Parts: sequence; C-alpha cells; structure tokens
Amino acid sequence: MKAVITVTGKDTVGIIALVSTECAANDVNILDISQTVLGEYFAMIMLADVEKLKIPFVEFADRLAELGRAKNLDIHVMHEDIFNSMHRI
Amino acid sequence: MLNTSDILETINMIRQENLDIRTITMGISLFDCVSENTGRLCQNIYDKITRTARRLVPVGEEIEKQYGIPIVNKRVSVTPISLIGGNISPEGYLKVAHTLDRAAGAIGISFIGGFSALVHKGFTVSAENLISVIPEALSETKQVCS
Repeated sequence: MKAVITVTGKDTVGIIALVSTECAANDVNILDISQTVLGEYFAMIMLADVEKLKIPFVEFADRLAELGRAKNLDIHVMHEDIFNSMHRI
Repeated sequence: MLNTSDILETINMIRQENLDIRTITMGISLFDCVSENTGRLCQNIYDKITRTARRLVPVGEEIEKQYGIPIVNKRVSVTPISLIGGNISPEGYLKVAHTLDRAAGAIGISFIGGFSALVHKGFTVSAENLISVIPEALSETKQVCS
C-alpha cells in the first residue's frame, strides 16, 4: 500500500528532515518527492510505501499531523487510492 | 502513476471546496427480532443493532483518516418496522421508536432509518398503527428517521 504525504506551509529549515525522519523511524520507504517553494511558501508531495509500517496507519497520520502543527505546517497522509479513484476511470 | 496536479486538485476539492462523503449506511435486517411480546421485541431490536453496528462509527472514522476525506454521517437503516411489528398497538410502535433512538445513541450514529411502513399496495392494520404514531415518535426521539 502506498500513501501520499502532503506538506504545506511557510518555508523553514528542516521540513523534509522532519518528515523523512518520522518515515524512517516507522519503516516507511520514500518513493518519490516533489517540492515547490513559492516565495516564502512551501509545498511538498511525497509518495511513500507504507507496507512495512510499524504502527497503525491512522496513528502514523496523526503523528505527522501533530509534528506539522508544532512547526505551523499542514501535513496530511492519505491512502493513494483516493487519488486514483478521483482521477482514473 | 499519480501526478502532482491530480494530487493538488483532489486536496483542493477536500480542503477548500468541502468535498466529503455525505453518508455511509449499514443495513440491518430485524426479521429475526420478531416477538409477540412488545418488551421482548424491543429488547431483541436493541441487542441486534448494538451488537451488529457497534463498530460502525469507529471504523467509519478510521476510513476517514486513512483516505483523508470526511464522512459526515454514519447511519443505520433497518427493516421497515411495520413488517416486524405484527399486531402490536400504536403505543407498542412508539416504544419501538424509542428503542431505535436508544440503540442509535448507544452506538453513536447520526441517524437511524426504518421507522416506516410499505403502503404502495394498500395499508395493513400494522402499517396504520405505525403511521398513526409517526408525529409523536419523531418529536420524542432525536435520531429516528421515518
């Protein structure tokens, strides 16, 4: 199962480190990253393999959201199927 | 393969344009709850709903988080009550409405549907008894739909 992690907010030092550290700690393999910085705003989309995730998916999503809140970032972890269902027939 | 604009479009729909799943519904047959005693009927209905749908809300919330899309209402729909009420009185039907409400409250759902009668081929006594207490049933309960 793959998940899409999105991060939006004001650009600061260590955003990718923050997310990737949490991923590594929970055995989540990062497959692809795309990011854009528009002025002082930062948007990142990460595709990750959560097959070997050590904790329940919902808990992982909550943890990242919590980490994001502490740094004023909006972090969402969503199952990739929602995007496939929305855009593929 | 997913592309960035598809992902951003979906996220925009959910966060900015309030795209959501309006309702998930669990259908429960109450035919096996039938009893000639109203108290027993109510107990059977309460037990069956709270047993079979006890995880509806937590599982619904799990799905919301997994896919990142809100599910606004979690609902249960049951066999039309006039089909399982048999010869019970209007007061009996009122008790059933309260039982449905209590069961809905116990499992935390938003609505419970099925306090209804099928009359497209004519009214039975049972259907008339149920319909006669609909105003009371709806005014005295919180989650019952009719």
